[in-house]
Amino acid sequence: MSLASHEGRSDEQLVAALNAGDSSAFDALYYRHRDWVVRLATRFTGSPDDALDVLQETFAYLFRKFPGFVLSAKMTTFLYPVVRNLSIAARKKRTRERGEEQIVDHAAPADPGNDRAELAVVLAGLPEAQREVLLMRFVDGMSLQEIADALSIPEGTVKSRMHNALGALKTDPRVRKYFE
Amino acid sequence: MHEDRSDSEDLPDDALPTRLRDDLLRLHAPAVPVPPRIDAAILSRAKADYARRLRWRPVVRWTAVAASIAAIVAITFTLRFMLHHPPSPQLARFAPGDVDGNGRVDILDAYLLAKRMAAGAKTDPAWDVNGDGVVNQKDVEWIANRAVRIVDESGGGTK
Repeated sequence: MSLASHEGRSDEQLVAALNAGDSSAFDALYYRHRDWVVRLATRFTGSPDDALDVLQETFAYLFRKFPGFVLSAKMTTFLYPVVRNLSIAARKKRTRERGEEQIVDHAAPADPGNDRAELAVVLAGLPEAQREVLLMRFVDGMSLQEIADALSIPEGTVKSRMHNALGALKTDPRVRKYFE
Repeated sequence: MHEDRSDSEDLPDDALPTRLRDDLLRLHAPAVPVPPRIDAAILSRAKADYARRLRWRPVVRWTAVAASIAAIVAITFTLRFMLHHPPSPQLARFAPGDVDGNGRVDILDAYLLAKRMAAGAKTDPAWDVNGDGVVNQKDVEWIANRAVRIVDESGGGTK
């Protein structure tokens, strides 16, 4: 079966096809989630090169589970901790090799003085737990339940962190303008 | 700050203003081009490994079945052997007269043997410490004498 023939099939159907021996479903699954994985890896590692390494390792890890893989949650929920952990390992390796300071959640450079630069500063000042759920929801497109599953925490905790993060953004004078 | 808010209100999807969401995406979701050679490498490796696993799958499956059968047969034979050849009671394995098997010959061994004989319990031929062919009161006395002798040899202290 070709890539086009898998278009419109759900992740569960692609997983079933792979388990049944249809290796062409690899392409569909890969291209569907590739950009999401590499963006997430870039955010965690701060390095496009490391992000591409993490991309390869992530899908190598996933594809090694076939045949016989059971998808018990959304694919992004399954992949999030994999990408995160591989990114942390890549960052540690780079730190050991080059002695670079570890930075979490790298933001793309913004022009100083504009709104995005101020937003980046405010986000960097949020507690990591709050920033993470905020970005998982509004950048990675995950639902609150998916975030809870990916982080292995109660949904109530996710809601609480999100509430606190949004509250901090709404009350910070540097980004309050977004809410006006 | 109390973390768990199981009673919190639901957060709507549009809790974030559109402009803020757009800027978040620009900051944290920049487009990262993936070279086609990397796509090709990932997919070709996945398919090659997958094909190899599919080839070996029947072998692994039948090996597991064979191993399970072998284990069941071995356990069955072992159990049958044990049923027909019950192990002898755990008895003295150390010096002659060490009835309780604690590595020492003391007055407790003599007492234990005497008690078992009085109860009519089965005795181990190893307890025939005087070598007369029977396990009787003479063996109890032998053990007791040995226990006392050991204490005497050590100058009256305990062993």
